[in-house]
Amino acid sequence: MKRILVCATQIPFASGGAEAHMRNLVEELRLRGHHAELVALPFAWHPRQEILAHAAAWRMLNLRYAGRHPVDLVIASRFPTYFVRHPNKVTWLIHQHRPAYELCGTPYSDFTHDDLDVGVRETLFTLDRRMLAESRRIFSNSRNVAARLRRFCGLRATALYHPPPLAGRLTAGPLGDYVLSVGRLESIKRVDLAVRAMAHVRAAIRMVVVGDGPERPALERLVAELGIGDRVDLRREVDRDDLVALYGGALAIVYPPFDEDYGYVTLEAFLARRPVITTEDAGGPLEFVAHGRTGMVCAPSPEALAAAVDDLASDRARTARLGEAGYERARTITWDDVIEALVGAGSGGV
Amino acid sequence: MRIAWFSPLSAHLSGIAEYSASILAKLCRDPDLDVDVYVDDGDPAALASRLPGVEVRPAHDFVWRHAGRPHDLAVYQLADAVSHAYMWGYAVRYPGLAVLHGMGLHAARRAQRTGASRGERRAELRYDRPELHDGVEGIAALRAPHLLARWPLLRPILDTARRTAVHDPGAAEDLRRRYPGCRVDVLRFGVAAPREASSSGKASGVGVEFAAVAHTSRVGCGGAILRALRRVRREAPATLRIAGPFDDGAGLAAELAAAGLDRNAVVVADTSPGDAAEAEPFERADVCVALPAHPGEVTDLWMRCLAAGRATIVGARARLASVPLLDASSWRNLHGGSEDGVAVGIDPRREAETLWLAMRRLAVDGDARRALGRRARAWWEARSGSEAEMLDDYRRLIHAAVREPAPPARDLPPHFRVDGLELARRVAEACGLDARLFGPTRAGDV
Repeated sequence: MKRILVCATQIPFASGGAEAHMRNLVEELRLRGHHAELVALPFAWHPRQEILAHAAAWRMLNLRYAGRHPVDLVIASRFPTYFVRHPNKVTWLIHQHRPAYELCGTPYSDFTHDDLDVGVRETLFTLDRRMLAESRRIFSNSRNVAARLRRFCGLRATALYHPPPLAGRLTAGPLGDYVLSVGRLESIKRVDLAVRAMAHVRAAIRMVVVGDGPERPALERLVAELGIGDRVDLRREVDRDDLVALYGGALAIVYPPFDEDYGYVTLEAFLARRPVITTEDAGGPLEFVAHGRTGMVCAPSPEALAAAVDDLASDRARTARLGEAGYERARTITWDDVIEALVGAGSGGV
Repeated sequence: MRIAWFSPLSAHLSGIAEYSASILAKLCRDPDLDVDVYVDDGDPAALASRLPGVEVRPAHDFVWRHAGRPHDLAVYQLADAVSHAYMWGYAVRYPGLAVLHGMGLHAARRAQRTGASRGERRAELRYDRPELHDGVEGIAALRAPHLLARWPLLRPILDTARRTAVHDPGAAEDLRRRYPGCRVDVLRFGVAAPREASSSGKASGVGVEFAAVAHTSRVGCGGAILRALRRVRREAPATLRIAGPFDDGAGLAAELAAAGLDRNAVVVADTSPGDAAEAEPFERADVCVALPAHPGEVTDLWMRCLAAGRATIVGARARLASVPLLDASSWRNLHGGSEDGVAVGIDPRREAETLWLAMRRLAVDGDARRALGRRARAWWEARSGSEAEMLDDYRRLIHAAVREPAPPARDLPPHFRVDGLELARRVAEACGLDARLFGPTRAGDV
């Protein structure tokens, strides 16, 4: 039994996959008899000249002791939690500060060639390498994130997959007459691409969109402009039971994010025995979705996504087979492997 | 030797980019050089297919690639066009070989720092010309930004570069005089494949075709060129293509319509002379009006027109005295020498009059126009460098610059080198803490 602190960032008034990830990790550690606590500091990416002050706040923390008791292990997650000081730091990297890294130069980053932006990126690259290298071992939540770390920082990480939040609850029902989109309504999730696809779908299929976020007003306008209000059902956050039911009753899940880190949606779809339609540039989902075997991988265009939906709608027996194959892939991913790896990596003691 | 090469290459190569592409293709064959090209616009993958053997990457990649495996030297082809703006984020922070293609860099810097505070802007102007400190304040008080835009803003580059180079010996001399202590070399300019000098390539044979670059500055502003054209057309048919980054494109178009010139002139506004006012239309026109935005500037465009054997009209500034120019009134050597002029010089104090005289003579007198073109070509062949010479100079300067440390430039306004840790340092110092929070640590050492 160990005393373990899990380090997370908190984006006030927002909650997504990363937050759920850390909460679940703490829960799973406790289930295995460890004393585990979540340590979180707020993080804001704006203004950019303060990003590294957030990193400094983590650096100020020495989590070697909790009261008079030594802390055996800290598990850092995403930027800037891995700036924390501890002699037994293990990093399970969710992502670095993406706008400064792989998203820089894409529409999903506001970093420019301005003096400040170049300076922040230079400092960030230097410090990230140094802070991450302090870790006893670096894991990542996906091979995609590990590849980024290798590319940008020259550091190696081992991909460590974990079950999604709804694992254990998901069940499969009959294939329905709708495709499902789940996730935060942010531009990088490209829910708009999925919605646009519905204007091209020929089969009698609807789309249910679950999630909330800053892109909601734009999506509402888009649905109205395309005149597909009768085919696209924009819902806000739904409770877990409803979400489980929506997964279980869908024909397929449409998930076309841009360069996703990992993507719970893929694994949740698979655990509900549903194939996933994704895109060639989706990142993490491509580690699980094999075209024609567990889903469809297509070009990031509305027409291509629509063709994939029509394809799955036209042959439901095949669609069911793809869903079953996805299930077989997802069910092998367990928390036992994750906890063993993380705790084992930090077993050297303080 | 690992070189980072910053140049405004785009899918449609022109001007600096075109000659840069030609040089790069040859430098990349040099076994001693490993060249990565960093661009801001265009599709790097598409560019790479046009530049075989050249590694083309988005400029954003430079920082992490340099942090992981430092380049030995960065080469910056700097000019005042907006397409050069992105280089400012790197040229001061990662000093290298700065090749100046203009005697002013203000517009590019302004385009790069759209979010700069007024204090930062003024600090840069003061740093650029400290002797004009009062002038900066006075002009700022007048709220006349077009006057501030005349500040060359060269010193941040000159003070930090490991080496600076220009194509024109006169410009090099002038820079050394204006910025004492700065190191400026001459890099001979060469044109890879100048067009034949014999004929213009215009589609129609009606009248003389002028092509002009206009500027935001008073000299060579679009309105002056249009007015000269209107007067010329009273005596001879003539057409005009006018391009440039002038502020008042709409006003110019209105002036053009009001003067009844809208069928005889084309205005290409909101462009940059180095880029969109592409070389080809100028090289193919009968007469190129290439008034420099800054005194003494030798533009690539002008050199190309000389190489193509075109009659050209340029600014008659003192520092162009080494280039024989014709007086627009007398058609004699402007500076009193015996050498025949290779271009017509415009007196900025009598711009309207001399511009009209020059354009009129070249419109009505075909012999004079052709003779000027022949002399231009001859002068270029005799005085300008070949591409091989330019390539040699690039190699020489690259090897020289890589051996030299970057000057400290201690007085440089701090915002040029901001690193994002300023707030953390201030807070730590205010709390009496060691601000070296991120100092080197061993794995597991706290």
